[in-house]
Amino acid sequence: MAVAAHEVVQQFITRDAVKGPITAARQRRTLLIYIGMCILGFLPTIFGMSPAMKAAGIGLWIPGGGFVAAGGWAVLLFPISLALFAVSVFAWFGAGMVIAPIIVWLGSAMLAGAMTGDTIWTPALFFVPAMVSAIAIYAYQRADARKQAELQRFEMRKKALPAAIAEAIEVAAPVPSRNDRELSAEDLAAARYLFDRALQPVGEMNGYDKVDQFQTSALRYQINNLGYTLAALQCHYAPNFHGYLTQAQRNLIDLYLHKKIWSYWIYESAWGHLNLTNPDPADKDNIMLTGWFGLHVGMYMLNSGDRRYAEPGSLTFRLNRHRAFPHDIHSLEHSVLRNFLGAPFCLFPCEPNWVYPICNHFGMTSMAVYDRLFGTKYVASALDKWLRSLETEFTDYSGSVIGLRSELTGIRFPFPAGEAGFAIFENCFAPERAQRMWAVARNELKYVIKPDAEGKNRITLPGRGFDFGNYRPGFAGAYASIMDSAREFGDYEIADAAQRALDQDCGRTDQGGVLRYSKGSNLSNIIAVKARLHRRDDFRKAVIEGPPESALRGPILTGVKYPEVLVGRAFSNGDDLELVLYPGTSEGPRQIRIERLRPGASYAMRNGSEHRFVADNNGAADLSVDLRGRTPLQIVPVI
Amino acid sequence: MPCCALAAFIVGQIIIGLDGIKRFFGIAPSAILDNPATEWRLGSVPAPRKSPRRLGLRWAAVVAVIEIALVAGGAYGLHAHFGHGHDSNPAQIEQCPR
Repeated sequence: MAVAAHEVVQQFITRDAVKGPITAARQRRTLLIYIGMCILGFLPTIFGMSPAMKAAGIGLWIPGGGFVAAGGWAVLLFPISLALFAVSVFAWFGAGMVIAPIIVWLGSAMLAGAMTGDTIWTPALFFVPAMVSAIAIYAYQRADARKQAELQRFEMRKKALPAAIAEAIEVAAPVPSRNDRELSAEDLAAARYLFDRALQPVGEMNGYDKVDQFQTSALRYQINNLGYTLAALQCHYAPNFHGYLTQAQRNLIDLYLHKKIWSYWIYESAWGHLNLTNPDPADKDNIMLTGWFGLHVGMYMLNSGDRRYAEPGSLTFRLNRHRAFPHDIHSLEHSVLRNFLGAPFCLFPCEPNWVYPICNHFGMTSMAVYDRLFGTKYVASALDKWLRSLETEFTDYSGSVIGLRSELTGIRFPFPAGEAGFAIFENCFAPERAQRMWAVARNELKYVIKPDAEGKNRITLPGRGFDFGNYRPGFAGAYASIMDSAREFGDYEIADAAQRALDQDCGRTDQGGVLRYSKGSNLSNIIAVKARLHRRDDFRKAVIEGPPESALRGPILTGVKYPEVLVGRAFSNGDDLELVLYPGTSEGPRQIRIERLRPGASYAMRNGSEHRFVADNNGAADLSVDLRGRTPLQIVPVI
Repeated sequence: MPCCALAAFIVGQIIIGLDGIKRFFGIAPSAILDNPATEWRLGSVPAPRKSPRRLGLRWAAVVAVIEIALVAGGAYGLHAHFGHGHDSNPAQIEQCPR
């Protein structure tokens, strides 16, 4: 990847205005609607209508404002209404419940009207507008202060960026050769954390965090991340190992189709889209499913060579005995593209109405893997518009991508998103932009890298941390995510500092041949494995390249039992098969099965000594291998 | 960072807040707890769940406390109502002799 530092810097410095035309139009519309509500709210007072109407009208100014007009004990309902409104807003962006704030606001106004007696408390006519004005002034001042801080940060970044990009490019390790890729015994212990979860019978969910199915701890994110990690493992370490590696990935895909995993959409489409009849999870919005799952299935297909999910109905979301939503990789990706091209922001919502740029990065990456699989041009057809929208509608004054924006109102929630998390995806479809984002992230990460008691660098983050996988304190997710991004950009110094912090702070446990972090969520543990196995450009290659053609047509290892036989490497140059195996339980002879050999051809298995065999008519052979520690094997055709 | 981060963050803050309250009352340890979900291994015995009976007893205790509060409140309300009604019944108000 040839990235010229000056080009990347220039793009950043000359970027467009922050508030894009659609955001500005949506915010204008929201303001006009609110002004309309205020005018409507004052009409009963101007025209001397009944006290009930006056109170209800005041209630349109602010949630619960009508109770102030009702006077007496009803005033106590005002703060309760405000609190309830805050909860309803939380339900709105947490689970797409668009109707919740509307119900609370209008409902409190109507209730206030019903509770009002013969007269209203006249000072409310001045008190409520004064309070609304005070809130507006406060909000404006806060927004302005935030803008000034972001602008200041932008100026600092502008100054530091040229050197930061040059340094990031300079320190990046080279892309490793496929010949050097092999899982160590420790890597395999970490990978067993994944296999244990993925190889249990489909439908069982032992070892997962089960908190809720709407937010970041939802099972779907744990399943998707397991899928990404196993697909990347297959791509870079074992493209010629199928057996339990592909079985594990298919199990995860099958598990995802279970109603428990995707049924959140039944509720969200009902209370967010007011759609009670068609809860198809891959129709409108819901990029947290189509984008994430599309990437998951696509990565499996690309790196295993298995094309079964291109068959119609191969990804069917069954609602009940009578109703199902048949999909496949084509319909999932078509849904992503259709939503991108049809959405006003181009980026489209997860929960109804809320646009999260990070999920849209998953969506664009899923189209990249789809293009690689089927030769389509989905990315090319949407990327320019998409990037322009990202730059103009979803970037703050400091140059960072924002966390989320309301599609309906244009309001942005002030939540930091972090450059490192976006950079890894953009490396698949916009590598120059990705390099710039990583350089920004890297430059700011320098401040949290400090030597530990042994004088070795580690990351030290302030506070108690927060684990998005189970909503508990802890840094496992943060360390693992930093490590993952750093590895993608070849910055092993930062990655090693993150690994060290993970090992020191997060309860590293090596038990029963499985490496895990006891103080992290399941999601954080999975990302920690992903990061551990990650090398320069691995994610990019697992999405837009996949294994070489020779590996996809060469012999494959299939029939090995888990965890008896662990596979550190399985790679073919076309006719041969290179394996590195480890005993997972005890040392001794183990049966392995090789397939996709040339039927009836003679082969030799070399492991210090040489053992000759002939492939059967199906191109398969069952062999016995004595596993003692690291056991390298080479299977070659004999002429 | 996965999606819905803001909502997750808010839920997390609530949980952390509740943990803080629990710690204040000495009913939760201060250190970050180990996550039992990560302990599970394929082939191992599934982690023991909280006994439904034990859970039921806890809920029963909570319900009992609420019931007692409601009954007490109701009794007080009835007492206040009838007591007040007794006094306010015009037929039963003693007339002051003039």
